[in-house]
Amino acid sequence: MNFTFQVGNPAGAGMSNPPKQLIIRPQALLIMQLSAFLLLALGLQVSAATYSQTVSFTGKDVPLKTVLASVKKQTGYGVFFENGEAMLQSSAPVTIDLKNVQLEIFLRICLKDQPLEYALEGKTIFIKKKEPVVSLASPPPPPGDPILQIKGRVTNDKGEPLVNANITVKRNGHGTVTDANGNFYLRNVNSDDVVNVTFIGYKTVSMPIKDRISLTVVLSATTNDLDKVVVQAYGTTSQRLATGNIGTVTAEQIARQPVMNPLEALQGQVAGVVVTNASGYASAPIKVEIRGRNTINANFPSDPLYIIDGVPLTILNLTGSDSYTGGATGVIQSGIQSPAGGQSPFFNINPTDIESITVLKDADATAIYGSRGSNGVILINTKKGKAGKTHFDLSVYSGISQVNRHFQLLNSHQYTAMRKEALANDGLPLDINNAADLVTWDTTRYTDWQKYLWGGLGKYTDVESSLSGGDSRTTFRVAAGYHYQTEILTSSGANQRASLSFNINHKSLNQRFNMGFTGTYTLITSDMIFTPGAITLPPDAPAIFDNKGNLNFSGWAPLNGNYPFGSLLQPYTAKSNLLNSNLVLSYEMTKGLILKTSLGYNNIQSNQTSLTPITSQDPANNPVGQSSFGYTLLHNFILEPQLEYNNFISKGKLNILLGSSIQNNTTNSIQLMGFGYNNDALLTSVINAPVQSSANFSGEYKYEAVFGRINYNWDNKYIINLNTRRDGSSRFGPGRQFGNFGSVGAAWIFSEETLIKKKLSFLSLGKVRGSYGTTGGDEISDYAFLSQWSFNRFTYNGVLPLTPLGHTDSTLHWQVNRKLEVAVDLSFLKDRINLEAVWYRNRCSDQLVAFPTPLLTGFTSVTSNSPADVQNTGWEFLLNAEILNEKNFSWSAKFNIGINRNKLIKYPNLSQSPYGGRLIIGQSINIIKLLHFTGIDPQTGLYTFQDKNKDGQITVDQTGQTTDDRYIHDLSPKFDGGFTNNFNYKNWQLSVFIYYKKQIGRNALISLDAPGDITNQPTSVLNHWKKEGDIANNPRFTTSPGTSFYNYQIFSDAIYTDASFIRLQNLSLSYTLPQKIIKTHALENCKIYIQGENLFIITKYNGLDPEVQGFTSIPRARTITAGISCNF
Amino acid sequence: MLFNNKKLIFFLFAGVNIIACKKTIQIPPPTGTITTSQVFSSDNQAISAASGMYFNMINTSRSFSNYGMSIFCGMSADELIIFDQTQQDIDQFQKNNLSTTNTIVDGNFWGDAYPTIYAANAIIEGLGNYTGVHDSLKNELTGEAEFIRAFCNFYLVNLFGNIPLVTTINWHKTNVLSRTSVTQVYDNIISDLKDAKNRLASDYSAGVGQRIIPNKWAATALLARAYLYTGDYANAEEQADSLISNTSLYSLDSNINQVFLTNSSEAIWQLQQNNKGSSYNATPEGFILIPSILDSTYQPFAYITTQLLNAFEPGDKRRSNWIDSTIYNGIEYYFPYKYKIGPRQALVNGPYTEYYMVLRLAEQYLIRAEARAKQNKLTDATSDLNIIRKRAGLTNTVATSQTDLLTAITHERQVELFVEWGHRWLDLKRSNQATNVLKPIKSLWENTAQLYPIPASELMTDPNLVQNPGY
Repeated sequence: MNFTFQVGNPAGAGMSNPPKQLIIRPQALLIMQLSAFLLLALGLQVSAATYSQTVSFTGKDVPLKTVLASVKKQTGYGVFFENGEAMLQSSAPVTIDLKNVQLEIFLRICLKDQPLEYALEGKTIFIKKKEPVVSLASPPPPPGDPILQIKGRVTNDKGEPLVNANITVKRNGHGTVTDANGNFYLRNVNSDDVVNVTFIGYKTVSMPIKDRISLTVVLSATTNDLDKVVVQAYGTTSQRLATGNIGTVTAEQIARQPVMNPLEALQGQVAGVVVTNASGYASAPIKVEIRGRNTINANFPSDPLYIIDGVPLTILNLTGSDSYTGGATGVIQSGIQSPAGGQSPFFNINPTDIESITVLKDADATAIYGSRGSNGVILINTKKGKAGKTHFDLSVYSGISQVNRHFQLLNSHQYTAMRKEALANDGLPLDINNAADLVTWDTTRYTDWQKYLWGGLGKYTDVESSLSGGDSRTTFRVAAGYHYQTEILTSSGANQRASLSFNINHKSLNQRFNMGFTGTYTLITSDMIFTPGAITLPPDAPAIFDNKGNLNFSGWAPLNGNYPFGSLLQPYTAKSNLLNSNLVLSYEMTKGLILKTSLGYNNIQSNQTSLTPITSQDPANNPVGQSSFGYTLLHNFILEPQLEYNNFISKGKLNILLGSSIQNNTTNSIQLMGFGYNNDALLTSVINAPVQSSANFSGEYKYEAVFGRINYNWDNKYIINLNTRRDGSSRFGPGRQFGNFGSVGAAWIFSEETLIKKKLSFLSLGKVRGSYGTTGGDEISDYAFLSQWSFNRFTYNGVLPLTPLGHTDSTLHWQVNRKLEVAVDLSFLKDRINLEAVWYRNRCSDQLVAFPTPLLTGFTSVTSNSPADVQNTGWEFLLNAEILNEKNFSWSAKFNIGINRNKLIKYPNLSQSPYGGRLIIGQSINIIKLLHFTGIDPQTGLYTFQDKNKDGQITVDQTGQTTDDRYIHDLSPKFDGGFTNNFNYKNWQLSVFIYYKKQIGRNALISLDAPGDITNQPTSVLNHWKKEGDIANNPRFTTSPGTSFYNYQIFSDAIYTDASFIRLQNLSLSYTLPQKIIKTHALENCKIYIQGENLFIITKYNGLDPEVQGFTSIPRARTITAGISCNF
Repeated sequence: MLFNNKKLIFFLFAGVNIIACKKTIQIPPPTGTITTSQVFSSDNQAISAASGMYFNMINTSRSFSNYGMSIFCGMSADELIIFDQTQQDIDQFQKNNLSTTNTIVDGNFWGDAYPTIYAANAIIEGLGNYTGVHDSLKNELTGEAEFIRAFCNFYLVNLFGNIPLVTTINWHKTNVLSRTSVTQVYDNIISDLKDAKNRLASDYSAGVGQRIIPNKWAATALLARAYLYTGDYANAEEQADSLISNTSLYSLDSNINQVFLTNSSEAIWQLQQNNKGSSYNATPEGFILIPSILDSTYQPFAYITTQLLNAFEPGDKRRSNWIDSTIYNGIEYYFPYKYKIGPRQALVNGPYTEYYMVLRLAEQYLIRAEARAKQNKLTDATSDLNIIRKRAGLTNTVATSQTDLLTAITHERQVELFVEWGHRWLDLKRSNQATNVLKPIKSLWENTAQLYPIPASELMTDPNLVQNPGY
């Protein structure tokens, strides 16, 4: 590679009256290049010490050599001489008296009367011979006349050149872009012209040309949310210029929440994104759904495509255990059941390392990801080093979590009374067959099982540190973190994460070659047990342990078959590590044309151990020990060469991106099982097992695409964005592997129109944007099109048997989502108030589903394309406002709401399909048909329901083919969103985040048996029917509930209640230590804070938590943490 | 420099061209599984596929074929009572008030038999579609699969009445099947068994001497039963007769404690249990029915009804050897003891002394007896019946008339085949005695309870299925 460097313009203080610049002849440039290389070859001394950017020197008639040596010492800059040090011989001694002067000013003064001049490149001072001034505009033309050209350079306030910045002439809108060095060259300008210099993420600068022929423009970063850099697919943009729908969560927002899994920090922050924990375990999979449910499928998760630093986090599903409700099982693919139902791969990502999480929702934003963008895309970018002072950050927090809601259940006395009444009602004797809980157990015993199982205290500890810094050519960040968190429910066990992340960016001397390398490495250990779902155990049930400390199976007899606590002694450990790395190389071939290659690799290894000791099993069954060991190894490789072209054509900036993507993903998994251990001490090694068995699973996924994007921005008023992509996926059979996808997006920033600017000056941004496009989906398991058999573990007749794995559909092909979006963005009062209103419509066809087949066909489903077309339409509103912005007090608020409506729009021959009884064209796919519960019959004490079809009886037609007594209800959430308020008062910051959702859901009664059975009941059942004529809320107690109860609990609306809530999801209070305290401790910034999660909830929900419905999962805990974070 | 750029662009687009090529997204076949074409391209894999049918019938949760017929149908009839009556899904069997969402009906009867039929169909179609298996083996394995298909259909039709008749793995054809009449299902069962009989070996060479792979005689035995159930007594007699005549393979063991042992001379077909993860070397039925410890600490899973206990004549060896009891909480409970290895006796790597008996010779004597009696061949019928009685240590039957003799045979079936593959439940139904016998002892009995309900989930998925009356 041929590196060149060019002479830049001194930037900085002299802006108001800049000296006329040299235009250097090419020959001189070449000589300089060569000498610079020679000098480089001679060796470059780079000192690691930290130096100041200012210089002081006092002396009279000092040789220039001495002065420069002092500069070198003070700043750490290297000094190079174009023709060797000998050229100093011609220099005159210097008399100077300067204190803390900027380096450039110092050098300018120093060299003022010398035959020498200087140039700064990175951390190097080049001293060279002064060239004679060649002015192209001499004598200066009269004002208003065209001068030929102007040259200039654009940098940020750290001196880093800004590449592809826009320079436009205000008069006619013509312009150009900067090259890799930030240099630009503009023809046909007048001396009274004004140029606008814009760059995404920076404040726009307008600069009159006057009589200058050279401009040095320094841009400073914007503080305005609209103009901040927003990560998009294969690049960056800003909210102001985006044509697509991009939602962002910043590092700051993440930092306020003490979550272990960064996906949890998304909850309520981005409109239209619903985040649900699959279970109460910290490492559990997290279900993310963007803009409603696209498919009628229950077997595939709704997860969007996740991309971490450019590398897709693709996890193959080897064992088929993913589901719509439970999400993807993630990194655990060995087939060993995990108490958490899998492990979210994001559990391995340290939230502290994340700079931003970007959610791409509409076709314009996602189409460039083609086939995989159908459920939306989530981009996670990690923190990068920044040029400037070297920072050392250290933060520590610690906290506790606790379940703070309890359900009122019967005590032993009430329970016993209920049981006796039930048996008496049924005419059953109080004997061991019917009432072992009353006959053999000590009915005076009482245990509050909720308290016993969920009464624990979870503990958090987190330590994070990072070192970052760099200069205009090289930046770096190295961070290390440790997180420790115990579960609420387990008596032992914890989740631990240790993480290391590193990032280095480097630019060549000529700024044209760029390298960025990012890597994170994380280690996770997660100890768990299966939580016994034992909340409704009879309150008089015997103790869990007997007096010898063993599990009390015999004490529970004859109901020892129901003893649920064996799992307490069955440890499960998952260990995993993740390496995610990405190397980006880019090279500016000529101005505006950049060749870029992104090379990503990630690797996840996980191993699980699950032990079933003899002591955890009922001794009556002659138990032996069992152990399972699972190993999963995942490799993901991606190569994405891209060619990007930027230029100014007429009044518009053109950006073209061409690229291709090759991805290869393999997952291998091994399961080892040992059976028949007769000694628990031997369990940890499979070799000790009398009987061993093993199984392996593997999956491979290949994915390839070519894609292109054309973006044309006319005068920052009219923006058009076209995407296209052709994809090939190995998940489809021959002939069906390729699909074409594309989108068109456009935006009109009408506030830039002169008329609007004049008449509606309070409007700082007015934008209308829209997009339409298609994305696809291939989120099915690998080899789904292939008919397969698997081997069993043990032999029959001496051979290993084979079992068919399922139906196949050889015509499997791409799922297609067609997305339409229209949005309006308005900003008022200099962007202090931003409002965004979005309407969208997504239609999904050829859905990949696990198509239900009756079991009589051999299997209950087949992976196939469904004939259904499902539509999601909705509104999203976002409001950001800086309400107050005074010196000592500021208040800003963010509000978002997402309203989604789901509808089945097409299903040919629905009545002859498996969905005939469940779905209705024109209605949501989340509908459920329910009887209307009308209370307890005063005559019989049974549940009664409305006789809708008035045939004199309550009928539930399970096939849905005939009229019955059920009404249709839609379980889709009506709306949800978040509301954040940030207050700053002097050194205090307070942030309050409220998450809300309107929905109906199943209440806690769903997990209860009929009142009278051997399980506990809420105290509300005390108001029940006892005798004929009683008006009561609860039925006659009975031990054999029959159809009435069955209709009530499975088919009636009684178990569905309003599960809407307003949750104080997060409250964060911090105090920044005053500067004078900080200064004395060599700190730059120091903050102490206290944070609370899930502090309170307002809900009418009949149960513990409207988000964790039923009694079987742990409700969400309240977490309070306190910490300190310091920058040095 | 310019040249370099051109080169770079060239490489970039060369890369793009490579991408457009289909070969690069081809993936190798999966490693943990094998494809159907691989299965039927070699003798060994095809044998493995057939073994899979049997393995899954006995060693997995498919309890229809590993204890469900015996235990749950025993409860539906008058043989067994569940101890813990709070187990609703099981309790519904003994109360004869099955719900349409009963998980045992759905998951274990319907849901075990049909996947087994799928495996059989997959083997029949696989052997037909691919050409890697030697003809003689192809013939043998096709026969085995036909036998298994007939076997499953036999139980399905007896439990549910009209059933969807599944003869292919093509789900496009089977996912909207409606129910086929009992007569037609029997026609299929009989034609499958006849075909299987012609294809299968007449010895136990497939199981290397062990009676764990169905042979020609297994098909004959089931054919005899199918003829008996359809009233074709001449054929039933002929089939049973041909089997009984094969005395070199089959004889009644005079020691009734050896009947259920591995490769017993009475065994026509046994299933080889191999479930090292849970029940070890015990048969599934022994593991469930024999209480863990025979003392007052542990209760039995289910116990024998007084009706069944009272059905035994004094001195019946089957009463004293095939039934045992335990005292729990001062009450004596009787449980089936045909298999002797329970949870306490099971050993992880223990020797296989018992296999799970599916078809045995005694039933063939009783089939021949009944078929002969129906054809009024009373002397022959009596002699068959007395062979069974003699082995049980009983004197000859006193029945002489056709009616009495038929009643005696039914009674003999009750005590010989008790808690075995639902014989009692099916006998009560086919002899139209179910209501007479069960109504007095079951308060919720309805005549419609004779057929189990079609699982609700199936009705929802297959719009052409219609529920049985009474559900």
